[in-house]
Amino acid sequence: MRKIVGLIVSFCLLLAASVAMHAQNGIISGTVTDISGEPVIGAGIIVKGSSGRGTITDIDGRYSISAKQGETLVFTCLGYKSQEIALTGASTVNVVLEEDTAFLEETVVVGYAPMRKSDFTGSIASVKAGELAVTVPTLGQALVGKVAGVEVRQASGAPGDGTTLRVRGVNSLTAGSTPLYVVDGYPASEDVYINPSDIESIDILKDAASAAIYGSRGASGVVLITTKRGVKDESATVTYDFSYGVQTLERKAKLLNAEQFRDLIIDAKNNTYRLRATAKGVTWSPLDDNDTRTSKGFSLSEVGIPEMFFDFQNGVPREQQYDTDWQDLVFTPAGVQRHNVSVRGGTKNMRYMASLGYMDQDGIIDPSNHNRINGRINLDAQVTERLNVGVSYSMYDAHNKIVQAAGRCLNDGIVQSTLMYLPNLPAYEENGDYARSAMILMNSWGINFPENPLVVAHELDQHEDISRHNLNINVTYTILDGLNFNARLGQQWYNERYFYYRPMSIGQGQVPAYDPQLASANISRTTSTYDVDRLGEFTLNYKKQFGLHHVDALAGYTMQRKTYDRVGVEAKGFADDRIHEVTAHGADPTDIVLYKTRKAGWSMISWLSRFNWAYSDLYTLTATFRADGSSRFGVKNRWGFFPSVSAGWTVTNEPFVKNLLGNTPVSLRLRGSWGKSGNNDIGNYSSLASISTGAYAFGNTPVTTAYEGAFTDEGLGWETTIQTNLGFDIGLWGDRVNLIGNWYNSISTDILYEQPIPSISGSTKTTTNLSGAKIRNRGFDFQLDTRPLQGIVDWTISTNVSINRNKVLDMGGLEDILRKTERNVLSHITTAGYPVGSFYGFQAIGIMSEEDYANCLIDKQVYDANGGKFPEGYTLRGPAQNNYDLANLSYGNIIWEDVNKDGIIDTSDKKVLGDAYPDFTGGLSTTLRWNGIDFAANLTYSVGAKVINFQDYYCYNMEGSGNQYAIVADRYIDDEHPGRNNVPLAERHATTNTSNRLASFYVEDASYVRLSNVTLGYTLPKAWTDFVKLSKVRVYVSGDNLFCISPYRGYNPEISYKTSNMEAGFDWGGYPLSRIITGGLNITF
Amino acid sequence: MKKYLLIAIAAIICASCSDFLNESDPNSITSGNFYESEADITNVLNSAYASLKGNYYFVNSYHFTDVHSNLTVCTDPGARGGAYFQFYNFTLNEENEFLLNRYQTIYKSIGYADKLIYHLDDVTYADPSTRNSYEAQARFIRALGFYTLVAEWGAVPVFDKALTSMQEIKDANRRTSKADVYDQIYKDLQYVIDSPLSDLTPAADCGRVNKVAAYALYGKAALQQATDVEFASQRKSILAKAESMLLEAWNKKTFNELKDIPFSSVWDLSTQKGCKENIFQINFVAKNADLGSDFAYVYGPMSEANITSKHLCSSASMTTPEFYATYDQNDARRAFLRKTTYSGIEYYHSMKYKDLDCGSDGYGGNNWIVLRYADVALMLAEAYYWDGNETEAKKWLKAVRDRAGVVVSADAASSETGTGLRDAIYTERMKEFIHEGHSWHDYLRMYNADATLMVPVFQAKNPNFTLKDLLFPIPYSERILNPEGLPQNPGYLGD
Repeated sequence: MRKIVGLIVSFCLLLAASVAMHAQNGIISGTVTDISGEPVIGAGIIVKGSSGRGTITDIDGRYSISAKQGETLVFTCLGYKSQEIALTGASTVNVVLEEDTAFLEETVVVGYAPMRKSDFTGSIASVKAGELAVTVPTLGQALVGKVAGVEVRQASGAPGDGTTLRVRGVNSLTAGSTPLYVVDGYPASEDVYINPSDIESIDILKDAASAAIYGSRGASGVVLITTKRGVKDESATVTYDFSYGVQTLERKAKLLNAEQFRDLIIDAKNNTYRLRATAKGVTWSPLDDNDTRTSKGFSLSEVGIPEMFFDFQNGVPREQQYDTDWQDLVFTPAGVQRHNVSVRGGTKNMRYMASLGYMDQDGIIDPSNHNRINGRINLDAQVTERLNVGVSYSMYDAHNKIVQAAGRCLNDGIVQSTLMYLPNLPAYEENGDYARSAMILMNSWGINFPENPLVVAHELDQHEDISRHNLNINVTYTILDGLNFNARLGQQWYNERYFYYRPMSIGQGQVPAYDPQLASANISRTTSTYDVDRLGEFTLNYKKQFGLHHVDALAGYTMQRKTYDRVGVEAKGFADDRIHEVTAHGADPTDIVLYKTRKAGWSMISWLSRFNWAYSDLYTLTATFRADGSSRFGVKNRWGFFPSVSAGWTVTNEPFVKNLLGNTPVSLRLRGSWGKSGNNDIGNYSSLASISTGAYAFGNTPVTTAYEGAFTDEGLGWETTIQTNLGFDIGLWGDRVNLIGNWYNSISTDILYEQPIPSISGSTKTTTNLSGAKIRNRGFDFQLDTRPLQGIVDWTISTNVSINRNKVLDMGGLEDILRKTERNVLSHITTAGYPVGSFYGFQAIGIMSEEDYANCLIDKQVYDANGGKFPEGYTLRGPAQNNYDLANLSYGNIIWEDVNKDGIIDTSDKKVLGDAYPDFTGGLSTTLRWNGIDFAANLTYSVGAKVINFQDYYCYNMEGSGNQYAIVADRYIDDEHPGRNNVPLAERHATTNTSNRLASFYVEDASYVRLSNVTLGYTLPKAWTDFVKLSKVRVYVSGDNLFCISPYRGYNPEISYKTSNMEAGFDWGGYPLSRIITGGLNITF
Repeated sequence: MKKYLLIAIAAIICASCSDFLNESDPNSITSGNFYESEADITNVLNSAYASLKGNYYFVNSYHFTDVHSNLTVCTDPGARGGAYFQFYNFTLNEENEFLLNRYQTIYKSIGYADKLIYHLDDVTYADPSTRNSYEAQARFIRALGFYTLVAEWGAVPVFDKALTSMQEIKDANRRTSKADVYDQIYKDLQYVIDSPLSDLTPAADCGRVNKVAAYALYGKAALQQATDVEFASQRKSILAKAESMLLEAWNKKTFNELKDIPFSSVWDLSTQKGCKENIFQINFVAKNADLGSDFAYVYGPMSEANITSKHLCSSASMTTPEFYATYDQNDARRAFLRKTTYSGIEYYHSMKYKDLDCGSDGYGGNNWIVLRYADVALMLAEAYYWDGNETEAKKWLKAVRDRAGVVVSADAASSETGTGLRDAIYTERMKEFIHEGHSWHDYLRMYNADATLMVPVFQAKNPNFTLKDLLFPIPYSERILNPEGLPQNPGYLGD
């Protein structure tokens, strides 16, 4: 260890030395020590105003620097107060640095009241403003790869879209696993939309002991966000930030070109023809024209080849007129610009911060756009000596032009349409209009029916206006010295106006554009939402030092209530596409109906307490207790109780250890914690059986119907997570090298789940707590922060790695949970011994050769002769089949693993094919500052996660019913031409290979390495800025998502189309991520 | 002083704690305070009726009936990953989503009926006979559900009261015996027969259960049981029951002879609701999203006009030119099949559900006819045939043929004896009821649900047909909830 440390130090010295080469005058040298006389290692020494001359102290606290007499040396070191010494002749300057008590008293936000950092014994990850990349549009993206134990997924690249945070794995089935966000003390129930520039710090409570103070909402972790506030007695600082960026598609998918597609469809149709004819016992030839094929009773959708692909007269494939690259047309470069103005300052009794941000972001799928304004005012007033009042107000106002990237092409999912659309078709007509519905019109040939994605993107009119307001008043009254009463009163408003219009110019399903039958899809929708969240929090906080004992106690009571109110209208019967508003609905009374209209609410009451005791920087003990009552649960189980304890021991402050270590600049702290937290993130009213109404008619008279909704559980209660955390903090040379490590084991029980119940109950599922079920998340996270250089060159390197293992330990008597995702394919299983929502399907183990096929035919004879099964003890000659239908049996088919070895491929042959959870994730970031230049880079990676690329359902189905991934060109043709010998035969009935099943080749490795950010900035020399009366000017360029290396075939390996934990890692389209190149400017007045 | 103030504030806040946490859904009534008046009960009964409209019960039932018996064709084998094709191709597996849908929908319907019966005595009735008439209607709906289940799946879980707790559900979720299911059907239908319900339903109340429907369904269930090889030893007595029930139904008719009712009036939207032949219909009202039907769309072609005002139909469940050719030139029913092509192949689609007035959304006014007198007549023909009374059987067969305008040559008539008569009766059923969702049950009766008779016949149509196909598989997701109590039907687990 010492060796490595030494190595780092000498490296630093070398660098520092090179920096010091500028020196041209006399050499000043000396020693820097602390008050106790210990040398201070790595302290920075700069010649004031010299912009470039500086050095650091070596292992014995010695330094030397060239400086002129009359100049001033500035001595700095983290944890010490800086000192300036003017040179007055002496060539030896020894300095004694005083410890910065403010630093020792540094507090950390841990819920309800700040705590001394040294007293905190849980597991927390903190990110300061300076470490956030502010060139990305949302806060979440700025956090990517920054913190150990927190997985930040960028599932969508749509303008304005946020990220998904997962703290230490998923611990729930149906309830949400989103952490609780707390902004300046206000527990917001949903993700927060905050201007990244307003953020002072982000602290993430990872272990249950820390999160337990948030009780029933803490089980998925707590993200505490602190915004910037004014500074006492500081004159106003006004800053202006501007940036402009260009976004482009991060990764392009590899698809077949027009010729390759043509060959595929000919191949698929001929193979199907061969199989159908063989099964029926009629002759066939690949040169039979379409009439001949149908005359034999086979439909064009199965065996017909459209004339545009094959010239039957001459028996040759046709030259293709077009080779359209749909991706290039759909994903186009898009600009993003941002302006931000802020002012910060304070007088003796008043502090203020105000900011205004504007952002306009186009999406890479034209014409999507996100345009928003963020405003914030934070005021703090010292009203009397004992009374402090803080008022925060923030607003967010956005207009989004939405294009729908995700989902099935039939439901206007643009990404899927882009992937599927035939390259053989043009995007535009000769007159410049979009070429509409070309594939739809080919439907009778067995071609799928996506509409031209450009039409859908441009003509499906979808936009929304969102505004959020947040008022947060915080009153602190000092009752006695050390005893404070705090009241926090706040309200959040959420308003949304959503608008949708689907014109007749977009074909859908089997109906081409402008067909009168589209009338039922020609609808307009609008919704208006008004949600209000109110909070009242009252806490008493007592802090006191008794000799070496420090006590910090907190008790409080909180109430919160949120109401949701939404009215929506859907209109149809439009005369034409000229007016898109619901007001243009038709004359029929049924042309106007309600759409997504709903009212709901929840409320919570909580009692909370925390007691913290510290003894002489050596021992710390914290205990918390919270009781939560929630309206979401059944009357019988309404209250939940959440205790926690944690303890810390700063080993290196122990006198005997101190003696042992001598001068070694090492600090070590051990921490342990145990806590219980909860999850109430299920829908409202789940414990109440409600009556739904509908309609029936007798004769021509309509009547009302009423029926009881699904079975409900009056005993519905909390989902509970108990987590143990063991950790250490190692510091070397003050804060030069910091290593934080944590091991945790968390067990969740009383899992909230919509349990399937037999259909005979009249329902299919009911929400309940699975009391015997157990989900475990266990893992390590490490964070290493180093500062190899400080002073003239300030260099930091940080890295983190997180390893989490998710496992269902016990299903609590429940059968395996199988989930159907899209197209009714059973794709996920939740079962004991595997992670939540593992992928479940059939394992492909090879491709049937012609010999295999011959053997299968022999097996078939035995199978048929024995009445559709094999005789006892029969040994298969060929690979096992699903059934022995001749029309499905072919060489080139997939060989499926016959897991139970019974000779038939059926449900019992499914197995777990992987899961969406990475083996480990992490990040590596570095910052470097020198002489006005600043550089930052951030690399993130994830290894071992898998994704079901369900676009394969269309894009790797070998049917030729839509365009396919490029890999399909490498398919099996026959034994002579096996391709890569793991891509099956092309066939319209390739469905026999994948029919309603999850095939193992849909499951892809989603590991990736991504250069998520690189920034290079330059702060103009003071002399220049002084000239234009500015205090600071910085220009920068940056790149976000510069590259992403991944074997994943789709766009984004972090995709997650489904929100349910049980359907994780599923790609059914999503807005692809973009690479952003930005140039920007920061001005401080 | 200030401290006391704080405590006082806290006390006030806490006093309202318990109320603060009581949230109720503003959009719906909860079950606890629902069953309060006769009107509430009426609405629950209405929902039991509405459950018959559930998808894959009578709506879209063609997969399980006409297509499954290859009377009609699955026109797009690739659709839905081949899951539809499995019915046509006899490659069904226990994961077929549509089978699950059907199973769930039927049990849901039974559940609604049960729930009504369970709460019947929660309220008082203006006219005390109302209570029993409600129970009778609910019991008919329940019997109809169990009849469909037992015919298609065999012994299924059967119960006669609402399942109100998890334990009751668990206890009831096991297969019983076919005999138990039939007994439950008979018990329920006997209750209807003894109830204050009217014999038949006037047009204005079209859709409501009546006694004749109970007689007819009783006869149908009894016939299904009697022709099941499993009940061969009781055949005689069950057949007698079927005959008497069907005759009761017949004798309550309000017309003279079947031929007095034109075949077209069964289907014409202006006469359908009041047609004297139609015994029990699932009732729909056109141009209404909640009340309309989509049979016109489902059974119509994709390319031909003049079926529905929704231009493009689904081209599902169309029959072949070969079947069309079996109709007599003069057969009135022939006009209800019309030629079309789909994907290059010639088919015949149904005109029974034609609706040119349904609006562009396709919310049609076509009813689903569950029971009609022609069915009763042909069931009587069947019952007498199996009873060995060929003269009587031929009489009933002729009644249906006469109405259709079919004249059987002496030559053909002479062959109608023994299995020849059997085939004639069942062929007549196919011609009469194509697109009405009967044929699969008909085939099971025709071949006695006897594998030795049925398998070779169907294997000639499609070699995939095996013993297993006589029953549908219990849906996988249901079976795994109780693998011991819900053993799979033979042949579906590779055994």
